[in-house]
Amino acid sequence: MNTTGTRENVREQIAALLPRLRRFARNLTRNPHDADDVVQIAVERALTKLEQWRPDARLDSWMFKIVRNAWIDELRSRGRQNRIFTGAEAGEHVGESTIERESDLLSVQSAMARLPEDQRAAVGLVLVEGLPYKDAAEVLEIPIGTLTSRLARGREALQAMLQPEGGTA
Amino acid sequence: MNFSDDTLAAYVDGELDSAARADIEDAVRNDPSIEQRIARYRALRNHLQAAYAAELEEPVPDRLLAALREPESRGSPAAADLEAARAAKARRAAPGTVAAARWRYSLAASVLIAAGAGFLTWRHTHIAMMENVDGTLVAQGSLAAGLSDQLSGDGTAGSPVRIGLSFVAKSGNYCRTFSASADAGLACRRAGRWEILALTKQGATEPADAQFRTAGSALSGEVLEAVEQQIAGEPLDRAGELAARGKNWSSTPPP
Repeated sequence: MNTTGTRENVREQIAALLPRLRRFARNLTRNPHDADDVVQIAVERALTKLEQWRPDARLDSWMFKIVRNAWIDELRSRGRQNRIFTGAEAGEHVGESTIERESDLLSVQSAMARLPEDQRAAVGLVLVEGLPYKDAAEVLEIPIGTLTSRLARGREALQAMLQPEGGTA
Repeated sequence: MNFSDDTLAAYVDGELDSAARADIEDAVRNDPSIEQRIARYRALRNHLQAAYAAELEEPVPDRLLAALREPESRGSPAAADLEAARAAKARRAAPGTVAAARWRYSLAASVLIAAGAGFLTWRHTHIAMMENVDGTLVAQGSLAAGLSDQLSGDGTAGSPVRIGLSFVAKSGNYCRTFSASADAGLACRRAGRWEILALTKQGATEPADAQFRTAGSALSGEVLEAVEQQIAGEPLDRAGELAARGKNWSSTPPP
C-alpha cells in the first residue's frame, strides 16, 4: 500500500485507511462503539485541516495521530464529567468466551486489552499496524527511546500472557 | 557477540541497517540461542498480525464513509466535536455492551488457540514467509510462490508449502488454505499479493516432516472457521484452480 500520495485523492486514501483506523481505535478504546466515534471525529477533523498534511508524509501516521488525539480529548472530556473510564466492561468480558475458558490461553485481543494504555498504543502502531519506530514515536509524540521501552514492556507482558511456556523454545 | 533484547526486537521489526542486520545474521550461524530469541519476537509479531487481520475485513459503517464523502454538506467545522459524535452514539440502540459479543464472534479471538505451546518453534526463521506490510500480514518468498503456483494437494519439489483448498470469497477475491512448515493458515489474494487472514501453528503432535499429509486434513478448526466465514459457494475444483491461476488469481466480481 502506498502510504503517501497526492491531495487530489486524499479522501479516497483516507477511506482506504478506515479499516486500519478503526482497528487502531479499538486498540486504544477497547470498545468498538467508542472506536467508531473516535474515528468519525478524527475523519471530520482531518478534513478541516487537510492543508496541514504534507503529501510526502505518511497519511496513515497522520491519521493515527489525529485518532489518538481525538481519543485523548474524549478521555479528558469524560474526566471533566466525572465519568469513570476504565474500559472495564470490555476488559472483563473479552476473556470470557467459551473457547477461551476451555483453553487457558488468552486471545490476543484480550491480552492487548490488559496492557496499560501507553504500551497498547505502541504495540498497536508498531506490531499490528506495522509503522516504523520513527513514525510511531511521532504519532505518540514521544522520543524513540520511550517508544522502544514501551514496546519492550508491552512485548514482555504479551509474551507472558500469550506464550505461557515462554523461553522454552 | 551479545545482542540486547531491544536490538533483536528491532531486527525483527525491520529497524536495523544492513550492517547491523548482517552482524546478527552472522552471529546466528554460531549461536542457535540467538535464533531462538529472534524467533520469539517474530512469533509474537506474526501472531498479533494474524489475530488482527480479520478486523480489516469488517465492513466500514456508513457513517464513517459518509463523513468522508459529504464534508461540504455538513455544517461548520464545529460539527467535528464530541457532541456530534455523542448524539450519533445516543441514536444507536445498543450501548457498549455489545463489546463482548463482538469479541466472541471475532475470528481473531480464536486464532490464538491452536497456537498453544508449540508456538515458539518457529521454523525457517531466516526465510521470511510473511511480512508485515503497512499493517497487513502478507505472504512472501516460498509461501507467496506456493500460493500462486501450486495446485491443491500437489507438492512441489523443494517447496515447504502445501495448498489445501481454494475458493472464491464473498468479496470476490480468491482465497487458499495452506500449510507451510510449522504454520497453517488462510491467504486471500488482494491487490496483487496474498494477505494472511488466519494463521495457526500446526499441532505439536504432528510430525514435523509431514510429506504425506494432505494439507486440507491438517487445517485447524480456526482456519476452517475462517474459511466458513469467507467462502462463497463451493471450493474450486482443479479446472477452477487452473483457470484462476491462469489469470494470476485476480478477483472475480462478487457472486
